Amino acid sequence: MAHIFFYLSGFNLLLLTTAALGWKRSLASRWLCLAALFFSAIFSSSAAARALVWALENRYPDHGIESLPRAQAIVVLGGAYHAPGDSINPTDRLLYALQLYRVGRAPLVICTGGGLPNEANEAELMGRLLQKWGVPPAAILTEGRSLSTWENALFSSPVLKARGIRQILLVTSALHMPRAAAVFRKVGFEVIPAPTDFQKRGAPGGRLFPNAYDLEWSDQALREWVGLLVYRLRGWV
Amino acid sequence: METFLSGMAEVLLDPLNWSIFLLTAGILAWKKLRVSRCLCVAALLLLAVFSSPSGSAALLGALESRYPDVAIAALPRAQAIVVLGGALHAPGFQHENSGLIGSSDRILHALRLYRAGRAPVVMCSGGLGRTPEALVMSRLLQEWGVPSEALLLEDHSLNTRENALFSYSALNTRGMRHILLVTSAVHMPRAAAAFRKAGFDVTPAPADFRTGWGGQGGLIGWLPHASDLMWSERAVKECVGLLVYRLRGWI
Repeated sequence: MAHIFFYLSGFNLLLLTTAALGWKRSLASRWLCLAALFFSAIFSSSAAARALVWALENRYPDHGIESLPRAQAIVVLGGAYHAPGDSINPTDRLLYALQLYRVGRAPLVICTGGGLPNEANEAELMGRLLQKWGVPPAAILTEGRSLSTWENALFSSPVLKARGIRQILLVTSALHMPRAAAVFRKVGFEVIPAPTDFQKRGAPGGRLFPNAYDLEWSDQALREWVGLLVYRLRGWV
Repeated sequence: METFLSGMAEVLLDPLNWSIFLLTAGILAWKKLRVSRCLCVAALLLLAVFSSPSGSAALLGALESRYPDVAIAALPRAQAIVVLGGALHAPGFQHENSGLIGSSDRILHALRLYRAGRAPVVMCSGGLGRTPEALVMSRLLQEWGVPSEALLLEDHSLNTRENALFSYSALNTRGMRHILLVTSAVHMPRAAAAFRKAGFDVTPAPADFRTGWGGQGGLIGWLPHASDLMWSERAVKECVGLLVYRLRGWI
């Protein structure tokens, strides 16, 4: 339940509800309504969304596949194979992992991610799609228990270390890379970030007016910032 | 004028903005306590409904249920598969490769249909972008193993109506009228109608479903979420798009 506060629209509703309930104290109510309006307007602007997303994505920019060194394995993180709520696109990660494999950046691809309702785990599905795209089954490993970025690192660590793998190309969404790279370093890997699924690529000029699309991106970015903070406090990065 | 109108529509058809307008009005009308309160509560209710998973699922479901998911084996054979653009990030200054987005599921679905032998040809339709998206899509399909001689391009269209008209002139000269149409399920009602209007015999093969994946029931379904607000907006705009197409006689 606590995570509702990380969602901007939830936060807004909370402000408005409090305002409606405290209507008798007119002044307090008014300030709450103003605050809600302020949050809606600021975070649903293109400028805010771009700034918040850019600050995360720019930590590890895209320098092209050629600039990436060879490594012992490609690790690709699941996020949600299909979570209707999220606009992050884990499929793009899979495509990028495929490209890295095809240009011979590493001989092995490890898919990590669990937790799909009433389905095979995500890593399994990712592995199947990679096979469909032509990667031989022997070059694919899966880790299908992890439910968070921390667990991605924790659970894929023994799988990789059993094969003597220490240096990895890490594939995940650019927005997610600062946290993911830090976690994998924490568990002892030498990480070469290979970010993909950039959100602000080739985007048309910012929209002047508030819009739900940018609110969603501010929301994703803010949640990632909160995630980074929480991971730091817990000592996971 | 057209640009101005669609710009206004962008703003006015966003449920987030309805809520912002109401809230602003409520704050401006502060002296009239009762009016103000009603406006603010209305803003609250609008935001609550449109940003809930249940709200967005109801709107999206109404559009997606028009053409439900069909198993590939149950689809008839056709002369061509037509897959619509709006399904990729094109390569740009910063990125050498195209990027998959949610609607890229369309491209994957077209590949599945082709592999299952449902049609011998895939036509990519879409002309937006510096490099037309039809070209970007066809490159990706080649990367995935579709031979280049099985790919056709229509790279001039800028909207759904043009997808239909330009695809028709390209395919009709080849004697192809029966198509499997691949686009996002939420877009299918308008797309299928536009392609039929252009003269095609259309078998819809929707992809990129947003509803029907489970896990949004009960109280969880009412927790607000910015992405649900975004999907509500998408559904509202699609409904208005259908209306506009009907009024203009495009479907």
